[in-house]
Amino acid sequence: MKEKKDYTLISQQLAKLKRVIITPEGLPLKLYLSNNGERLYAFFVDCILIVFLIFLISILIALLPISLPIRTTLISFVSFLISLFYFTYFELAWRGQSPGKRFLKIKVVKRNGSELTAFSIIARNLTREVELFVPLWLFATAVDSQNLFLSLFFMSWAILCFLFPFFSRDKQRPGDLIGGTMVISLPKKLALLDDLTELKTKMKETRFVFTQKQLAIYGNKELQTLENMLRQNNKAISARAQKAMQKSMAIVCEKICRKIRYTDPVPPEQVERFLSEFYIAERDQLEKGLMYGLRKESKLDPTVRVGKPPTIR
Amino acid sequence: MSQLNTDSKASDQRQLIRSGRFRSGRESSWRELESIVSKLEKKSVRSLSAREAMELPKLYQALISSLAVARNTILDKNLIQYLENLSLRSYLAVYGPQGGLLQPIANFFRSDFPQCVRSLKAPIIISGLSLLAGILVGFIAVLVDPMYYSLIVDPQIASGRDFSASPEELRSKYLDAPYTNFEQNFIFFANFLFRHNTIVSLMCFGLGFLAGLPTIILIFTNGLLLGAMLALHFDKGLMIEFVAWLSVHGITELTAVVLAGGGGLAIGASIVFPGQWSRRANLADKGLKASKVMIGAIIMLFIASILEGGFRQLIVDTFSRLIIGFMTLVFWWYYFFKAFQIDPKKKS
Repeated sequence: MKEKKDYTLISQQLAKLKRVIITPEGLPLKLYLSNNGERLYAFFVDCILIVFLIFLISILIALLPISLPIRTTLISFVSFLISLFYFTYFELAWRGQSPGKRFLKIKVVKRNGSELTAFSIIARNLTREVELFVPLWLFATAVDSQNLFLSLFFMSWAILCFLFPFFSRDKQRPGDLIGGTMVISLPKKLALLDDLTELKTKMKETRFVFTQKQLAIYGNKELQTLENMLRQNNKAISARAQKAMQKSMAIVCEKICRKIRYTDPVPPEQVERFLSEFYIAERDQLEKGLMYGLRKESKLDPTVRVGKPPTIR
Repeated sequence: MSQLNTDSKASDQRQLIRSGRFRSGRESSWRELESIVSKLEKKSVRSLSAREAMELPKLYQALISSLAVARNTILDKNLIQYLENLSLRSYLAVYGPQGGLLQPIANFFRSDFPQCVRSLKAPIIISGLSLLAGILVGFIAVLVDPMYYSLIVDPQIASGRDFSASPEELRSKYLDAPYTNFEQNFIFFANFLFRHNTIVSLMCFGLGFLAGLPTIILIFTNGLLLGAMLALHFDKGLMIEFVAWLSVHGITELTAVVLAGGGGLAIGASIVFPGQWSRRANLADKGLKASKVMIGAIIMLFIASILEGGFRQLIVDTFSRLIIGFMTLVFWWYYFFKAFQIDPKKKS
């Protein structure tokens, strides 16, 4: 019970992060925003890399035969440039990913789904400078000159910008607003599994015959639930898992028989076969309906709707 | 034998339900696209072979249409999820800044920067006017009562340039200060100026987010400073010398600050007056232009700091300084308004 509750909590969280973009081809695609924790970590990773880069270059500059004030000036100039162009360079070269983002598998995309342009990247990273680095630097100088008002002002400026993505709609920071971008988490790879209807070619004959009326009871949702079950059964390798699957499949089989009034008894060793054949027959039937614009979402769908636009799940 | 083989295949096809045939006809192209996309996710476009690069757009288009069909006619959940996943992965891999960094840089100087400056004319003019207003107010206020000078100009910045200084002091310390050495001027001073100016203009730009008012105030105060300085030198009879001294770098620098301010104001305006679009859409559009202007302004500031730190003290003659200042003015005017104009006839 507790596990199930956690699962719904996770899916609720995911639903909050779900966004639909329209690609330039006009195809709606769903994707998930990255959460602020991931972005924060990515930013930390990048900061560490920046500090490391500056450190390396400082060592190189320290080896040059020049006077001390020139050396410090050069170092400060170079570190200014690095902090200014690090993000821009990497997000340009790696199509919207800095090393930290790559490490955490998140990416910058345009909020409206159009192509991510070079200048969206430049805009969002220039604004980062004004959001965080400049106010922190000014804060340091204000503290140095013991100006309480200014130091409070710059600190609250940086904090406000820092907290901005926690409150904005698409978790955008001010730079994202200006660049028209948002940060998403990269999709995990999904494998294409075997087609369950392929079984039909392997079978010599169909053993179970269903009438049109029997196939008209269930809808898409039930079909896909059955699909999940059959795929799980295919995945089950260990004897224990197979046994558990057989048990639950027997229950499902019995339920289906009762619901569609399939009166012939199904012997236990034929349960899997029965479910597979029912799946194929039901899918064929429902997909034929789709060809004519008839869509039955679930068994609760009383009338078959005509011409209903497809929903994006 | 082969005849028999194709026969049995054909009978397989007949036995598959319709959506099975849909899949078996397209699966190989999906798999091919998947292998290309997996490569693209790890490396750049250059890692693809010529054939793969040729195939990629075709396969992508085919996948997109497969998904559009599948969503409407196929109930295999795994298949649709796979197609959606692959479409998203290829979308992310295909769309994005491709190729080297040189092309966008060249495009930026050739068209983006001057075009954006022209398209943000109104906010840039307002930003320029607020600078002018600052200069005028500062100038008049200090002329009326020199007391204002110490109020406007921070003694740290003035560092001796005030009403107690004699004209000769002003001349020897600033206007005709000797050229010390390359290191001191070019590296130390130029770098300090560049960073200082860049931060000021970044502030102008970023404060645009707060409805643009702080930007105007910031530019106005910079104008005040300049106006007060002008008044001081006017009072000491060094007006022309000061203007000449300033014009070497000042025209580039002030233009850059005005442009940055204009960018900030454009951002502010897109928030306060969103017009027919949503604030966010407006901000994304104007923000992009404004940030291009901002980048150009930073580059201009870099040029200005080199002019200021390096060349200004090399040329002591007032007249030559004025000529250099005038040349920079002509250069920027030509760059923004004359060069790289798109011929409207050619475009259509």
